[in-house]
Amino acid sequence: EMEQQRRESRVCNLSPQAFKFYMEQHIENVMKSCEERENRRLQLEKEMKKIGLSEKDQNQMRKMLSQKESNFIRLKRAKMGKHLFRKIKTIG
Amino acid sequence: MSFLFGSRASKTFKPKKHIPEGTHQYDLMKHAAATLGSGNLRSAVMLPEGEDLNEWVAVNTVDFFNQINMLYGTITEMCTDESCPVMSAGPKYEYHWADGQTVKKPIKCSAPKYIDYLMTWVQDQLDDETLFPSKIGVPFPRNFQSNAKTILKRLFRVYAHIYHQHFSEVVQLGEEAHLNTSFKHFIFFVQEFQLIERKELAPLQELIDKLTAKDR
Ligand SMILES: [Zn+2]
Repeated sequence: EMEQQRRESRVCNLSPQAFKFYMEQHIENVMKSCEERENRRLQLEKEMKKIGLSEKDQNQMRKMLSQKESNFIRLKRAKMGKHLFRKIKTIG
Repeated sequence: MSFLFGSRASKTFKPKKHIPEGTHQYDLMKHAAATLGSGNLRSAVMLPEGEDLNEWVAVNTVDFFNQINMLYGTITEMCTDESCPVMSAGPKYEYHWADGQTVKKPIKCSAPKYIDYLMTWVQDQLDDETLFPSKIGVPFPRNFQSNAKTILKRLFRVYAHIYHQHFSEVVQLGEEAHLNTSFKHFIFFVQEFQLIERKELAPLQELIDKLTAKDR
């Protein structure tokens, strides 16, 4: 009777093609977003140097960028949890 | 499983000499090394400069959960009460389900039941706003790291079960490189932040040594 009380199972059937497609895209995205994030950081450093910002302002800018990046992965996490499986289905 | 990981004494994972080329066993041995062309995953798991460690662990934990959920979804028809009456990872490791909250006394159950309990439990953790806040500005709880460690420790067991009991099916489906890449990413991540104790990783230690050897 414990079984009946439980919500529907978390595990559902998935075609190997869908999993493979997902993993290939995903690993590419992991590498890409890592690289892009580093580029944004370097870009900021370059521009701050160019206009000669004070050390204090530089730290402020670094903090702002970090916060933006941090918010971005939080929103990504929230989205990943909810829409992933529906999305996969339409692709596969 | 010895056919896949080589003898206990050997740390090299080279196919044993007496396995003739072209046999099923030899193929599995080769497959154990296949990964997607994946660049430098070791550096991709590192904490980005200025990032909050909890935020980084959270997004990656959700990510690994999704990967494992999908991976298991591809073999769920082959992991049944009959094929896998206990949740095992090879002959030496058996898991009984308890979540420490609603189920305190460990339940001995089949692998599909265990994995269903496990994935449902993880999903509930990830959906809990007090454990994994999803709104901007809401802080993580103080016990976040220990929570995440428990989640990752349990997710590892699904990999361990699949490697030990379903690897030939994974090869038949042609997804061994995908599994290896997913697992390698997972292992790099938990190693980077020391999120799973070494003894918990024992069922796949030799595979871990093999997959991570090149990128040390
Ligand atoms: Zn099974």
